[in-house]
Amino acid sequence: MTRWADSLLAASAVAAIIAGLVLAGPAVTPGGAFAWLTGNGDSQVGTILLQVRLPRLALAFAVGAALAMAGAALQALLANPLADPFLLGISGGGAAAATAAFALLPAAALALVPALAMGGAAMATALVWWMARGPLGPSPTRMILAGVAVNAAASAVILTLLAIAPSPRLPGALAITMGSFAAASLPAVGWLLPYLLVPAVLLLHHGRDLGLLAVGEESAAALGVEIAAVRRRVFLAAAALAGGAVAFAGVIGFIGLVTPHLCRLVWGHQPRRLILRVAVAGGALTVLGDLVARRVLAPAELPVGVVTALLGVPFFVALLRRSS
Amino acid sequence: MLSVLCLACSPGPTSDVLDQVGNPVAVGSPCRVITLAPDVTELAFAVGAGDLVIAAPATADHPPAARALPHLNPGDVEAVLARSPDLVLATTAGNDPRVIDRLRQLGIVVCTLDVTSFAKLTEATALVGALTGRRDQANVVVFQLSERIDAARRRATLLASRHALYVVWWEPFIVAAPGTFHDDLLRTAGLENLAPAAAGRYPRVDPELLLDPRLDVIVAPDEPDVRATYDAVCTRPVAGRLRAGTTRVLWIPADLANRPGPRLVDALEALVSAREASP
Amino acid sequence: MVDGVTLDVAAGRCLAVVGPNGAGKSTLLRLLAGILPARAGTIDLLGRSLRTWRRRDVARVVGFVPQLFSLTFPLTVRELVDQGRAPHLGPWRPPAEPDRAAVARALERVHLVEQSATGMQNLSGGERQRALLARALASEPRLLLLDEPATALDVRHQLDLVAVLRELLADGVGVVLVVHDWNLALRLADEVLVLDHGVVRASGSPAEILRSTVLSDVFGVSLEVLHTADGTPIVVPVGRANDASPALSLPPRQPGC
Repeated sequence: MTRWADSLLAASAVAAIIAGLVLAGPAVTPGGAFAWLTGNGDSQVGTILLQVRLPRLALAFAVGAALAMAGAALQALLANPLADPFLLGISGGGAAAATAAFALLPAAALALVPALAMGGAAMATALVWWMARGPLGPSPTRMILAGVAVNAAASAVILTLLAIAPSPRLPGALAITMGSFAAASLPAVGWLLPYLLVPAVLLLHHGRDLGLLAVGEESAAALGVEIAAVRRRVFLAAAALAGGAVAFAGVIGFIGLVTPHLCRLVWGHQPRRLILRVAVAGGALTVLGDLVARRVLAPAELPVGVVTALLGVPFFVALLRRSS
Repeated sequence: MLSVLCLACSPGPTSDVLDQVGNPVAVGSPCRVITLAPDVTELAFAVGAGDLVIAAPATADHPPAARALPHLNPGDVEAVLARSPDLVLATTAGNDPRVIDRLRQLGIVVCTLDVTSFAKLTEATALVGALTGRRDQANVVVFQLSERIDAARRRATLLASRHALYVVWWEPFIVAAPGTFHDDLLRTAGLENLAPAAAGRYPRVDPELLLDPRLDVIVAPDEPDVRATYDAVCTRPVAGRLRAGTTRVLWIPADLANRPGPRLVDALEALVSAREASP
Repeated sequence: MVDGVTLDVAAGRCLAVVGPNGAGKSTLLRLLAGILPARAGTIDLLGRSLRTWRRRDVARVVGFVPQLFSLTFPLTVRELVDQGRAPHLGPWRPPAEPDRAAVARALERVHLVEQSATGMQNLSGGERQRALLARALASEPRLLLLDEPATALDVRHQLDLVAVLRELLADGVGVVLVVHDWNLALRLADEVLVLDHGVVRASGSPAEILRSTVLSDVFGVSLEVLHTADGTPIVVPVGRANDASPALSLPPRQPGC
């Protein structure tokens, strides 16, 4: 059953990527792409596919994977099925820093926005860490409360910046709060990869520990889990994943919240089994979301965050029906 | 002729006209006029009503006499009230409609302009002239503007029609859609706008539109921020046609092209000249 | 807070810890499990100070059966018992045949083989306790620590528990039991520790404890000791201790605790 499900997941991911490559716009049609692939098409198609669309897809996939993994990790760590990567205020910090950069910096410095966003995310992480610290590492309840506080502060900062930003800068600043992959490039993906891969390895390493923690702190400790260390590392991993995502793509909601739930329906609750599968599913969903965002009002683009938010509606309806 | 000039602020005949958003505006003989945007400020001065203007926003930098005016924040209802204006000139291009509503509720006479085309520009000029008692000067200005617009249009018909975009901002990629004065600028200059029609006035669009083989010309406002983001976008693969010159970028001074005021005609002339220089 | 406790558990021996609520029994147990760090004093496990052990090595040797557990996500019995193998698996090694065999043996011991696919949320309190015991047994510990293991068990399962523990003791596993039920303690334990307010009030064999007045002193009740047909002593509280209860006599201690 698992093997079948895994194959389906992999196939869906591949299909999503192919769809993103050939269906995203009039510049490359499926026929043209096929022709190029078989050596008969014009090189312009190749350029577009490899240099324009592939980086965008790669970024979308990487961001989706990062968000989904962060969501799964936090849902296990905080023992809260409604945890998402933005609950802990990390993306709030990143978005606030990016918005500040957009609103206040001279245009020539706008290339620095991702770096500044990472800085903002790091600051928010440090703040939540400091507020939530306890003898057994950061405590789940305190993490959530601290995250709420940081998010509130970040929202206030963002709203203030949007109010005082010079009007030509507003569209860019708004784009951050709603998410976009339009600025994707291979170097950007390159920068994001460490923030994706290192936390992923860390989460896999502690996957079993997370499953043990979910059944109680004392049981976990008795079974050899170093609770404080695990909590710290998982928190940092989730922070790096969420921070990286926000820095390069803005705030994209619901992927981190919904993807783990969808995957649990198929693969169960053990965090160890979920981490990689959630990453692939999150990547595929985000790629599809970006495709929809680009095609619905083409050539105008909807913000990706709007499309993923639409994912949330059936999700919450289903949750409501299950709990009644 | 004399009856048009208002030397004393006597409450004149109060008939109503409709402003460009459909609200009735009482016609009187104002002597304390406040303008809430640079474009309406330029309009007021153009029709000779500059001496009636008692305050304008800090961004109103043309004509030079406007810079000497006391500044006020166009979003500050209290500041407007404090000066007891008898006419306020506002625009849909940048003024908050809620502020305008508030002022009207408080009994202030507000005329809102909605210049989305050259036709509406001349209409706005006449309207401002009528409201400020400068009807005759306004008629002269309207005549002159119309002449210049027609002349530019004729020059444009001599050029081959091309497809174009007006880029407001390069990253995120934001263009002007049909129904905006930017769109009319393009069309009057003989350019066909490739921007989508049903996604709002200034939609964000897929950067791949830069690769559209139909796109020959991009018109962009020349200001440092826009230039800087242009340079950034040029480094990306999606800007291949820009780098190769297959798609030409025509830079028009920003305070001409981005203000729906009388100098929009200057922008039109500059655009047509730029097109003539590089067909 | 637990202060000045000295105890010694050898292989195959059973130590019961009794005391009123808040006496520090659970704290003591957690100190022994290494879950709580000891601020002063030493705890030696297999001859080496607990401080020098790595957490995972301790977990391989010491099994802990908590009284309660939280269920954030649904878990089957087998998945719960599988967790007991965690100390033997690294973060990367998947379970292998020896692990599956250990889990199967643990499930058999507690008679939960048929329910191994049932969700934990669908079990009775007693069945949950047994699942927790199986989880501790899955890691094949040499020392088993149990916190109120009999609380939710019905009579038959209490007897089963006693039987299981006796088997384990016979196999050489050391057992430390925190219990409210004195009779359970007396039936199983080689040694009884009476804790009150974090301090040891008495320690000794069950017979010695019953001969003294410590139980009635510490719990503030007067007791009577009865005997079953086969001579097993049963302690019955008969009322508040207004006056000191007289010394009780017992028949000789039964062999094979």
